[in-house]
Amino acid sequence: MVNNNANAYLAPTIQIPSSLEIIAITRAKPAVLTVSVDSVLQANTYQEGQQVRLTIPYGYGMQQMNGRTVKILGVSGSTITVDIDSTLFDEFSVPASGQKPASLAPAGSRNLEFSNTSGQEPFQSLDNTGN
Amino acid sequence: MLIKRCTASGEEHGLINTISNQVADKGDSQVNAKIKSSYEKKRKDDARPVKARYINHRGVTERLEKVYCRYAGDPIQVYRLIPGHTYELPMGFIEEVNGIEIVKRSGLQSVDGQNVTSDGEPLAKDSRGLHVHELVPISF
Repeated sequence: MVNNNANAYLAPTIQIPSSLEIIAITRAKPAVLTVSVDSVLQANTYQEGQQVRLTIPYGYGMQQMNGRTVKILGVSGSTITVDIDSTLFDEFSVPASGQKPASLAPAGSRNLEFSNTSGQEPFQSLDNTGN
Repeated sequence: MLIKRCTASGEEHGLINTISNQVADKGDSQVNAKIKSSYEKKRKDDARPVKARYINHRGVTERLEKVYCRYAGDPIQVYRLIPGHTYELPMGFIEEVNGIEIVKRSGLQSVDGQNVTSDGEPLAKDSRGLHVHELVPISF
């Protein structure tokens, strides 16, 4: 019999892709998100074709984006272009304080796709084994 | 590259999804040249983009959600149309929408909550249908 406390702790790893804080969203076609990436705890490893779910607390405005799952059209540094025309949406602005952060997180199986042809796992983690 | 169009309230409309078609286009090698050329002409004509305004004769709060795929191998497109908006649509899609007709069946007093006759009386026999959806081209 193994005691419950016999399990060794796993070393903490960066979840791939990370959940990232959104600091800006343009009202444009297509919409462009700017994210804040902590250089130690996070990494912007998102790629074109992945889907992300957006969480926009009320105080940030642009509630039309809240809860929406969008597809990434392109990534450049800390900006992510998504497949939504936000021209008619409300303005997005970061409130002074007192709000949960606006964020994006991976959504759906496209973030862990396995290619039967090549055997590659393009959106898998750092060493392709889940760690 | 599909960029979803949204209203000010966040409702997606226009072409909202494209799905790849697993039915392969086997071509038209078995048909004679005359039929082949007319088929290709029709296919090209159906794919021609046309600007059109969507009208729903039941009211502006109605919507039309329709899947379009006319030829083997073509991607499956999902459209959601809101009355009063203008869309760039393939000619074949416009033909299909304008051809949608709800036939007035005999013995019925209403079709989807709409009286089939002005006095609400049932029809004695089947007759031509109601056109609920209409796409009016605004450019050619």
